[in-house]
Amino acid sequence: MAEHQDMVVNTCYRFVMNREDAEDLAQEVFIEVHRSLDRFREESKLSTWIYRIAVTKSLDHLRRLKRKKRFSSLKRIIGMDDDPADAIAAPDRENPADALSDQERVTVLRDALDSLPDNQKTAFLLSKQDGYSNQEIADILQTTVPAVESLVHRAKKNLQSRLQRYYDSDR
Amino acid sequence: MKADNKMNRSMAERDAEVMKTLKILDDMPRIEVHHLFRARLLQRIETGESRRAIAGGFNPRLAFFSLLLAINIGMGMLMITHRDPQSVTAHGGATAESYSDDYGGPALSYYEQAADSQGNE
Repeated sequence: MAEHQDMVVNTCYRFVMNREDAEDLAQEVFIEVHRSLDRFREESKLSTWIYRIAVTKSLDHLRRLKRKKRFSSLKRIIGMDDDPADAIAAPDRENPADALSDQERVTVLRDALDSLPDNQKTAFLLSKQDGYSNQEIADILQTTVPAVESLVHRAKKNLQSRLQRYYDSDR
Repeated sequence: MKADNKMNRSMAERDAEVMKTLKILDDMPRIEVHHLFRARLLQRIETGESRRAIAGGFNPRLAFFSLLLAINIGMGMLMITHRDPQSVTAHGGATAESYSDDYGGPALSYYEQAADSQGNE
């Protein structure tokens, strides 16, 4: 477990961009691994299987957040707003204006990532993390290396156009 | 010409913003796992296992039917306690008595008086 723990936590962190949530998700991943280790068929490497669980759990968490966000905006519309939006980790800055703009940037990036299809999002985020080769990403996604390359390329293009649209409308 | 320059500059600014935003992912630091991570995990696994052991003897179908049976018995008991025949007849008798008192008094018995007066005539 120790050898995968760091990789699992950091994989979850890439998806959820929040340290506490990432550690909590990583714990759920290892609980799931512990629970269903007897169902693990050695068709893939153990690490690939664990990272696949981490990706699935992270995507589920993002879906839950999306639902929660929709529900809270509905509550805001009908005047039942109770709690503020979830905190998102942004790099620490001494200047509050910089910190605010970083925070805004993180939110914009998260929204843009949220709008991507799951396979594009996964391929893109894993490709950004040290330690994953394209072959490993292909194994996690149960696809081929050229398919992963194509997914990453499309994800980049989609993200760029979404962000361009956002900054155009912001002006 | 001026408008073109302005547009190019604003596009360049926009692209710079996009690049900065995407760079967040590249600059994202690797996080160190909390030193209590393993201890917490083992605790969660143990708690989950003891909970599963307790729930092992639990049969949801049996629990559901037991609940239905309890509700049925409860409803039956409620119906029995609300259908107390003695209290109903006693209440009915009192009402009948009060009616006969109200309408049987001499003030409201003018029909009989009328009959009497016709007989006298």
